[in-house]
Amino acid sequence: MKRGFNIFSFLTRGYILHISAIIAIGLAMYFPGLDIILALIYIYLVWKEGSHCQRRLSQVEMAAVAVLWQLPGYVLAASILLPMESASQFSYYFIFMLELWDTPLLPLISMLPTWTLLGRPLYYYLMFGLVPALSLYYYTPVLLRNRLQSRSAGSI
Amino acid sequence: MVFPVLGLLLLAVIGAANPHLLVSRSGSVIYTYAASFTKGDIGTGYGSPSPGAVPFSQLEPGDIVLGGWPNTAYGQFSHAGLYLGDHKVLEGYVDYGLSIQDLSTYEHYSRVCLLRINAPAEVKANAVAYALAEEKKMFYPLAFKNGSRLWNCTKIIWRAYADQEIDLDEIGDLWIAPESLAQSRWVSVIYEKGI
Repeated sequence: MKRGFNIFSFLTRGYILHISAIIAIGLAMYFPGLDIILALIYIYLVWKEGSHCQRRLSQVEMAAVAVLWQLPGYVLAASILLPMESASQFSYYFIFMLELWDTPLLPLISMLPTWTLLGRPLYYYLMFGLVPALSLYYYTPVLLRNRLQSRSAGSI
Repeated sequence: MVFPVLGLLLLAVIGAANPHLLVSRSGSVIYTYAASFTKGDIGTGYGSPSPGAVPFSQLEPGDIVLGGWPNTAYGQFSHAGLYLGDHKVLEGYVDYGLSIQDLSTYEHYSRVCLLRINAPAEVKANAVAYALAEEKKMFYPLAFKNGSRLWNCTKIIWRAYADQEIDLDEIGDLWIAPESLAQSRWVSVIYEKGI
Protein backbone atom coordinates (compact mmCIF):
# COMPACT_ATOMS: atom_id res chain seq x y z
CA MET A 1 0.00 0.00 0.00
CA LYS A 2 2.83 2.34 1.00
CA ARG A 3 4.70 1.44 -2.19
CA GLY A 4 1.66 2.27 -4.32
CA PHE A 5 1.32 5.58 -2.53
CA ASN A 6 5.00 6.36 -3.14
CA ILE A 7 4.66 5.67 -6.85
CA PHE A 8 1.53 7.82 -7.06
CA SER A 9 3.23 10.59 -5.09
CA PHE A 10 6.31 10.71 -7.35
CA LEU A 11 4.16 10.47 -10.44
CA THR A 12 2.06 13.44 -9.27
CA ARG A 13 5.22 15.43 -8.53
CA GLY A 14 6.54 14.61 -11.99
CA TYR A 15 3.34 15.74 -13.69
CA ILE A 16 3.19 18.95 -11.65
CA LEU A 17 6.81 19.68 -12.60
CA HIS A 18 6.26 19.00 -16.31
CA ILE A 19 2.89 20.71 -16.75
CA SER A 20 3.89 23.80 -14.79
CA ALA A 21 7.11 23.92 -16.84
CA ILE A 22 5.03 23.85 -20.06
CA ILE A 23 3.12 26.91 -18.84
CA ALA A 24 6.08 28.81 -17.38
CA ILE A 25 8.48 28.14 -20.26
CA GLY A 26 5.71 28.82 -22.80
CA LEU A 27 5.17 32.22 -21.15
CA ALA A 28 8.93 32.81 -20.87
CA MET A 29 9.12 32.69 -24.67
CA TYR A 30 7.73 36.22 -24.49
CA PHE A 31 11.19 37.20 -23.21
CA PRO A 32 13.58 35.50 -25.67
CA GLY A 33 16.51 34.07 -23.73
CA LEU A 34 14.61 33.62 -20.49
CA ASP A 35 12.97 30.52 -21.99
CA ILE A 36 16.42 28.98 -22.48
CA ILE A 37 17.38 29.65 -18.86
CA LEU A 38 14.13 28.09 -17.63
CA ALA A 39 14.65 25.07 -19.89
CA LEU A 40 18.04 24.53 -18.23
CA ILE A 41 16.43 24.88 -14.79
CA TYR A 42 13.85 22.30 -15.87
CA ILE A 43 16.61 19.84 -16.79
CA TYR A 44 18.23 20.40 -13.40
CA LEU A 45 14.93 19.90 -11.55
CA VAL A 46 14.14 16.68 -13.45
CA TRP A 47 17.55 15.35 -12.44
CA LYS A 48 16.93 16.31 -8.81
CA GLU A 49 13.50 14.69 -8.94
CA GLY A 50 14.92 11.49 -10.44
CA SER A 51 17.67 11.39 -7.80
CA HIS A 52 15.14 11.90 -5.01
CA CYS A 53 12.85 9.24 -6.47
CA GLN A 54 15.57 6.57 -6.81
CA ARG A 55 16.26 6.73 -3.05
CA ARG A 56 12.66 5.79 -2.26
CA LEU A 57 11.65 3.38 -5.03
CA SER A 58 12.91 0.10 -6.36
CA GLN A 59 14.42 -0.14 -9.84
CA VAL A 60 11.20 -1.48 -11.38
CA GLU A 61 9.03 1.11 -9.64
CA MET A 62 11.36 3.87 -10.75
CA ALA A 63 11.19 2.61 -14.35
CA ALA A 64 7.40 2.59 -14.14
CA VAL A 65 7.32 6.18 -12.86
CA ALA A 66 9.78 7.27 -15.59
CA VAL A 67 7.54 5.87 -18.33
CA LEU A 68 4.17 6.84 -16.82
CA TRP A 69 5.43 10.39 -16.22
CA GLN A 70 5.75 10.83 -19.98
CA LEU A 71 2.72 8.70 -20.89
CA PRO A 72 0.82 11.53 -22.69
CA GLY A 73 3.89 12.06 -24.87
CA TYR A 74 4.12 8.34 -25.70
CA VAL A 75 0.42 8.19 -26.57
CA LEU A 76 0.63 11.27 -28.79
CA ALA A 77 3.82 10.11 -30.52
CA ALA A 78 2.37 6.64 -31.12
CA SER A 79 -0.90 8.04 -32.45
CA ILE A 80 1.03 10.12 -35.00
CA LEU A 81 3.49 7.42 -36.04
CA LEU A 82 0.94 4.60 -36.19
CA PRO A 83 -2.19 4.58 -38.37
CA MET A 84 -4.21 5.57 -35.28
CA GLU A 85 -3.92 9.15 -36.53
CA SER A 86 -7.14 8.86 -38.46
CA ALA A 87 -9.03 7.58 -35.40
CA SER A 88 -10.80 10.82 -34.60
CA GLN A 89 -11.46 14.29 -35.92
CA PHE A 90 -8.95 15.61 -33.36
CA SER A 91 -6.08 13.47 -34.65
CA TYR A 92 -4.92 16.38 -36.81
CA TYR A 93 -4.06 18.20 -33.58
CA PHE A 94 -1.95 15.38 -32.08
CA ILE A 95 1.25 16.75 -33.62
CA PHE A 96 0.51 20.20 -32.15
CA MET A 97 -0.24 18.61 -28.78
CA LEU A 98 3.03 16.66 -28.92
CA GLU A 99 4.93 19.88 -29.60
CA LEU A 100 3.17 21.57 -26.68
CA TRP A 101 4.01 18.57 -24.47
CA ASP A 102 7.67 19.04 -25.48
CA THR A 103 7.57 22.78 -24.67
CA PRO A 104 9.97 22.60 -21.67
CA LEU A 105 12.84 21.56 -23.95
CA LEU A 106 11.87 23.36 -27.18
CA PRO A 107 13.91 26.50 -26.38
CA LEU A 108 17.05 24.36 -26.46
CA ILE A 109 15.98 22.48 -29.60
CA SER A 110 15.27 25.79 -31.34
CA MET A 111 18.96 26.70 -31.04
CA LEU A 112 20.11 23.69 -33.05
CA PRO A 113 21.09 24.05 -36.72
CA THR A 114 18.20 24.01 -39.20
CA TRP A 115 19.18 20.68 -40.75
CA THR A 116 16.61 18.68 -42.67
CA LEU A 117 16.27 14.93 -43.11
CA LEU A 118 13.93 13.42 -45.72
CA GLY A 119 12.44 16.87 -46.27
CA ARG A 120 11.58 17.45 -42.62
CA PRO A 121 13.47 19.60 -40.12
CA LEU A 122 15.61 18.04 -37.44
CA TYR A 123 13.36 19.36 -34.68
CA TYR A 124 10.43 17.34 -36.07
CA TYR A 125 12.26 14.07 -35.34
CA LEU A 126 13.50 15.35 -31.99
CA MET A 127 9.91 16.03 -30.93
CA PHE A 128 9.36 12.27 -30.97
CA GLY A 129 12.75 11.49 -29.42
CA LEU A 130 12.36 13.88 -26.48
CA VAL A 131 9.67 11.75 -24.84
CA PRO A 132 11.77 8.57 -24.33
CA ALA A 133 14.84 10.75 -23.75
CA LEU A 134 13.12 12.44 -20.80
CA SER A 135 12.05 9.06 -19.38
CA LEU A 136 15.62 7.79 -19.67
CA TYR A 137 17.04 10.97 -18.16
CA TYR A 138 14.66 10.66 -15.20
CA TYR A 139 15.79 7.05 -14.77
CA THR A 140 19.53 7.80 -15.13
CA PRO A 141 20.17 8.21 -11.36
CA VAL A 142 19.20 4.54 -10.96
CA LEU A 143 21.67 3.53 -13.66
CA LEU A 144 24.39 5.57 -11.98
CA ARG A 145 23.56 4.05 -8.60
CA ASN A 146 23.79 0.53 -10.04
CA ARG A 147 27.10 1.35 -11.67
CA LEU A 148 28.54 2.75 -8.45
CA GLN A 149 27.31 -0.27 -6.48
CA SER A 150 28.85 -2.73 -8.93
CA ARG A 151 32.13 -0.78 -8.82
CA SER A 152 32.25 -0.75 -5.05
CA ALA A 153 31.34 -4.47 -4.96
CA GLY A 154 34.16 -5.15 -7.41
CA SER A 155 36.69 -3.27 -5.29
CA ILE A 156 35.90 -5.39 -2.18
CA MET B 1 7.02 24.78 -6.82
CA VAL B 2 9.51 26.77 -8.91
CA PHE B 3 7.60 26.62 -12.17
CA PRO B 4 4.06 27.25 -10.84
CA VAL B 5 5.34 30.40 -9.12
CA LEU B 6 7.33 31.47 -12.18
CA GLY B 7 4.30 30.88 -14.40
CA LEU B 8 2.12 33.16 -12.27
CA LEU B 9 4.88 35.76 -12.09
CA LEU B 10 5.40 35.75 -15.86
CA LEU B 11 1.66 35.97 -16.45
CA ALA B 12 1.51 39.05 -14.20
CA VAL B 13 4.52 40.68 -15.88
CA ILE B 14 3.20 40.05 -19.41
CA GLY B 15 -0.23 41.35 -18.36
CA ALA B 16 1.31 44.46 -16.80
CA ALA B 17 3.39 45.08 -19.94
CA ASN B 18 0.27 44.92 -22.13
CA PRO B 19 -2.49 46.72 -20.21
CA HIS B 20 -4.15 47.82 -23.47
CA LEU B 21 -5.11 44.18 -24.14
CA LEU B 22 -6.86 43.95 -20.78
CA VAL B 23 -8.87 47.13 -21.37
CA SER B 24 -9.73 46.74 -25.06
CA ARG B 25 -10.00 42.99 -25.52
CA SER B 26 -11.97 42.87 -28.74
CA GLY B 27 -9.89 41.71 -31.67
CA SER B 28 -7.03 40.23 -29.66
CA VAL B 29 -6.07 36.64 -30.43
CA ILE B 30 -6.74 35.39 -26.91
CA TYR B 31 -10.15 37.09 -26.77
CA THR B 32 -11.13 35.69 -30.19
CA TYR B 33 -9.92 32.23 -29.16
CA ALA B 34 -11.81 32.34 -25.86
CA ALA B 35 -15.00 33.48 -27.61
CA SER B 36 -14.66 30.65 -30.15
CA PHE B 37 -13.98 28.14 -27.37
CA THR B 38 -17.35 28.90 -25.79
CA LYS B 39 -18.94 28.00 -29.14
CA GLY B 40 -17.00 24.74 -29.32
CA ASP B 41 -14.49 25.85 -31.96
CA ILE B 42 -11.03 24.95 -30.69
CA GLY B 43 -8.58 24.70 -33.56
CA THR B 44 -7.82 25.42 -37.15
CA GLY B 45 -11.29 24.35 -38.24
CA TYR B 46 -12.24 21.81 -40.85
CA GLY B 47 -14.66 21.44 -43.68
CA SER B 48 -15.24 20.01 -47.11
CA PRO B 49 -12.69 21.05 -49.71
CA SER B 50 -14.18 23.51 -52.15
CA PRO B 51 -11.95 23.61 -55.18
CA GLY B 52 -12.47 26.64 -57.32
CA ALA B 53 -10.61 28.93 -59.62
CA VAL B 54 -8.68 31.30 -57.36
CA PRO B 55 -6.97 33.96 -59.49
CA PHE B 56 -3.45 33.25 -58.22
CA SER B 57 -2.08 34.77 -61.43
CA GLN B 58 -2.85 38.20 -59.95
CA LEU B 59 -0.36 37.65 -57.14
CA GLU B 60 2.96 39.46 -56.90
CA PRO B 61 5.89 38.56 -54.63
CA GLY B 62 5.22 39.95 -51.17
CA ASP B 63 1.45 39.48 -51.36
CA ILE B 64 -0.29 37.52 -48.61
CA VAL B 65 -2.51 34.47 -49.08
CA LEU B 66 -5.02 33.54 -46.37
CA GLY B 67 -7.04 30.33 -46.10
CA GLY B 68 -9.70 29.31 -43.62
CA TRP B 69 -12.55 27.05 -42.64
CA PRO B 70 -15.93 28.11 -41.23
CA ASN B 71 -15.17 26.96 -37.66
CA THR B 72 -11.65 28.30 -37.18
CA ALA B 73 -11.04 29.28 -33.56
CA TYR B 74 -8.98 32.41 -34.17
CA GLY B 75 -10.98 34.34 -36.74
CA GLN B 76 -12.10 33.80 -40.30
CA PHE B 77 -8.76 32.37 -41.41
CA SER B 78 -6.62 29.54 -40.10
CA HIS B 79 -3.52 29.79 -42.27
CA ALA B 80 -1.37 32.38 -44.01
CA GLY B 81 1.42 32.33 -46.55
CA LEU B 82 3.77 34.90 -48.05
CA TYR B 83 3.79 34.73 -51.84
CA LEU B 84 7.30 34.35 -53.23
CA GLY B 85 6.56 34.18 -56.96
CA ASP B 86 6.51 31.17 -59.33
CA HIS B 87 3.39 29.76 -57.62
CA LYS B 88 5.28 29.30 -54.31
CA VAL B 89 4.53 30.55 -50.80
CA LEU B 90 6.52 30.58 -47.60
CA GLU B 91 4.42 28.95 -44.89
CA GLY B 92 4.78 27.57 -41.40
CA TYR B 93 3.84 23.97 -40.57
CA VAL B 94 4.62 22.02 -37.45
CA ASP B 95 6.05 19.11 -39.44
CA TYR B 96 8.01 21.19 -41.98
CA GLY B 97 8.92 24.35 -40.07
CA LEU B 98 9.04 27.53 -42.14
CA SER B 99 9.05 26.07 -45.61
CA ILE B 100 8.41 26.84 -49.26
CA GLN B 101 5.23 25.17 -50.48
CA ASP B 102 3.09 25.14 -53.58
CA LEU B 103 0.24 27.63 -53.73
CA SER B 104 -2.27 25.02 -54.83
CA THR B 105 -3.06 23.93 -51.25
CA TYR B 106 -5.04 27.16 -50.83
CA GLU B 107 -7.49 26.17 -53.56
CA HIS B 108 -9.20 23.78 -51.16
CA TYR B 109 -10.00 26.18 -48.36
CA SER B 110 -13.62 27.25 -48.18
CA ARG B 111 -12.39 30.78 -47.42
CA VAL B 112 -9.57 32.34 -49.40
CA CYS B 113 -8.33 35.91 -49.35
CA LEU B 114 -5.50 37.42 -51.36
CA LEU B 115 -4.01 40.56 -49.86
CA ARG B 116 -1.63 43.16 -51.28
CA ILE B 117 0.58 45.27 -49.08
CA ASN B 118 0.37 48.91 -50.10
CA ALA B 119 4.09 49.52 -50.28
CA PRO B 120 6.77 49.95 -52.96
CA ALA B 121 7.98 46.79 -54.73
CA GLU B 122 11.43 47.20 -53.17
CA VAL B 123 9.96 47.04 -49.65
CA LYS B 124 8.05 43.88 -50.54
CA ALA B 125 11.16 42.32 -52.07
CA ASN B 126 13.03 43.04 -48.82
CA ALA B 127 10.21 41.44 -46.83
CA VAL B 128 10.40 38.32 -49.00
CA ALA B 129 14.19 38.21 -48.59
CA TYR B 130 13.80 38.51 -44.80
CA ALA B 131 11.29 35.66 -44.70
CA LEU B 132 13.42 33.41 -46.89
CA ALA B 133 16.39 33.91 -44.58
CA GLU B 134 14.33 32.29 -41.79
CA GLU B 135 13.38 29.24 -43.86
CA LYS B 136 13.48 25.86 -42.03
CA LYS B 137 13.29 27.45 -38.58
CA MET B 138 11.06 25.95 -35.94
CA PHE B 139 7.28 26.21 -36.00
CA TYR B 140 5.53 26.72 -32.69
CA PRO B 141 1.78 27.40 -32.75
CA LEU B 142 1.89 29.74 -29.75
CA ALA B 143 4.98 31.69 -30.82
CA PHE B 144 4.88 35.19 -29.34
CA LYS B 145 5.69 38.08 -31.66
CA ASN B 146 8.97 38.56 -29.80
CA GLY B 147 12.03 36.53 -30.72
CA SER B 148 13.36 34.88 -33.85
CA ARG B 149 13.78 31.21 -32.91
CA LEU B 150 10.12 30.17 -32.88
CA TRP B 151 7.69 30.99 -35.66
CA ASN B 152 4.23 30.33 -36.97
CA CYS B 153 2.70 30.98 -40.38
CA THR B 154 1.55 34.51 -39.51
CA LYS B 155 4.41 35.70 -37.34
CA ILE B 156 6.94 35.33 -40.16
CA ILE B 157 4.82 37.56 -42.43
CA TRP B 158 4.29 40.13 -39.68
CA ARG B 159 8.01 40.17 -38.80
CA ALA B 160 9.15 40.32 -42.44
CA TYR B 161 7.14 43.50 -42.90
CA ALA B 162 7.83 44.87 -39.41
CA ASP B 163 11.51 44.72 -40.38
CA GLN B 164 10.57 47.09 -43.25
CA GLU B 165 8.79 49.35 -40.70
CA ILE B 166 5.35 48.19 -41.76
CA ASP B 167 3.47 46.95 -38.70
CA LEU B 168 0.59 44.75 -39.84
CA ASP B 169 -0.69 44.35 -36.26
CA GLU B 170 -3.10 47.18 -35.52
CA ILE B 171 -3.74 46.43 -31.83
CA GLY B 172 -0.28 45.54 -30.53
CA ASP B 173 -1.27 41.99 -29.67
CA LEU B 174 0.93 39.35 -28.03
CA TRP B 175 0.44 36.96 -30.93
CA ILE B 176 -0.47 37.60 -34.51
CA ALA B 177 -3.25 35.68 -36.26
CA PRO B 178 -4.13 35.54 -39.99
CA GLU B 179 -7.18 37.66 -39.17
CA SER B 180 -4.91 40.50 -37.99
CA LEU B 181 -3.25 40.65 -41.41
CA ALA B 182 -6.63 40.97 -43.14
CA GLN B 183 -7.59 43.86 -40.84
CA SER B 184 -4.41 45.87 -41.32
CA ARG B 185 -4.64 49.34 -42.83
CA TRP B 186 -1.57 48.47 -44.92
CA VAL B 187 -3.36 45.89 -47.07
CA SER B 188 -5.94 45.91 -49.82
CA VAL B 189 -7.96 42.88 -50.85
CA ILE B 190 -7.22 41.52 -54.33
CA TYR B 191 -9.65 38.62 -54.14
CA GLU B 192 -11.80 36.82 -51.61
CA LYS B 193 -13.85 33.65 -51.61
CA GLY B 194 -16.36 32.40 -49.03
CA ILE B 195 -16.11 35.48 -46.79
